[in-house]
Parts: sequence; C-alpha cells; structure tokens
Amino acid sequence: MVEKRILVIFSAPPFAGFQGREALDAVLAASAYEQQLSLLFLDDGLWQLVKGQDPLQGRSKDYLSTFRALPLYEVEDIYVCGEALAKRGLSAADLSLEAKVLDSQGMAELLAQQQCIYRF
Amino acid sequence: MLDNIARDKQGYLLNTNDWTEALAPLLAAEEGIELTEAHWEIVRFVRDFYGEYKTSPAVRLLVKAVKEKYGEEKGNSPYLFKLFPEGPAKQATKIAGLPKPAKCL
Repeated sequence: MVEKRILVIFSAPPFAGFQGREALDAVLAASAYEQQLSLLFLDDGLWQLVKGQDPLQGRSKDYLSTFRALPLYEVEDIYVCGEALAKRGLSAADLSLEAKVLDSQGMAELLAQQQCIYRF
Repeated sequence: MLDNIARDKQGYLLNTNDWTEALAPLLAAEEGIELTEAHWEIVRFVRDFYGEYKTSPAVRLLVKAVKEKYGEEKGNSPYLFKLFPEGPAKQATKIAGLPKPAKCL
C-alpha cells in the first residue's frame, strides 16, 4: 500500500454536533492502515481536547476520554493552533493530550506536507 | 439471568453498567466458551481499558496492549484466538459487557 500523509483537522466544538466524534472515529480507523497520520486542532475544535469536561452532563457519550488512547494507537503527531489556544485563554497544560503548538507558519508547513486533508 | 438485560441484536449489552462478573460465564456460554483464568485475564483487561478510555479496543490494539502488560507469550494473535476463536476483541468485549469495537476493519 502506498503510504500517504493524512491530516485530520478538528475545527468543530464537542457536543454541538457529531463532527468531533466522527473525526475521532476516522482517525482510529485510519490508524489501522499505518499511514502517516497527523491531527490538527483549530478554532473551537480545541475544546475537544480540554481536560475536565463532563460529557455526561450534556447526556453525550464520553468520547473525549478516547482521545487519550491515541498514543496507544500510535497516533502521536498531534498539533494545536497556538493562536486559537491563546485566544481562548488556554495553554498546552489544559489539554488531555500532549500536543505540539504551532504558529501560522508551522501550520502552513504542516498543510503543505499532506496528500489528504479531512476537515471536520 | 440474561433475560432481564437489554442487549442488541448480536447479544452485546446495551448498558455496560448492567454487567456483573456473574454474567460473564453466561455470555461466554453463548459464544461456546468456558471461561478459564486465562479468559478472565483478557476480559478484565478489556473492561479496564474501557473504563479508562471509554472505547472497546480493536484487535490490533488488544494484541499490543496485552503484550505490554503480560509479555510476548500472551501478547500475540494465536494465543488470543485460541482463547476467543471468533475474534478476541469481538468476543472478549461481549463477555465483558462492553460495546462491540466500532472499527472492525
């Protein structure tokens, strides 16, 4: 199989729709194919990774806990938009996963490296 | 005992909180499996995994995680398929009262 560089972008907030959960499902499925898989969290998509939320209050399935399993699935290239982080008064320490913070140039480079980009 | 518990068409529990250890042998019997300590080890393992990550591990991850915890001797497909002939992830999660792993690719 040809190895492709795939980027999955999370830009939607959790619990306002199903995008976050669908994006995570896509990532877990793709991880089985041993592609070069990266994740980028933009805008309100950052809230997917913020620790200490109680999804059960929103009567949703707790899929946010599943993000923490990503390193076990060998999905380790996880990036967040630094500007979006700052704008929301968040820091990398507020996130449930270890993520690399990118500035706009870093994001442009990441996007330029990909063969496939899926945005949710 | 199983009659009073809500399950899906394939026999997976609809609510993981309905599960008790006493149900496991009954669920296993439906799969044609008689639980031994070796089965229990894996059943408890997938249940702990679900408790932490709120998802059932698919087979690839199960093999890898079992290898990390119990070593090469148990962390391999032949060993796990011997315990659960119709698919270790599928059958162990069913016996553990968890949802079927979503991405059986």
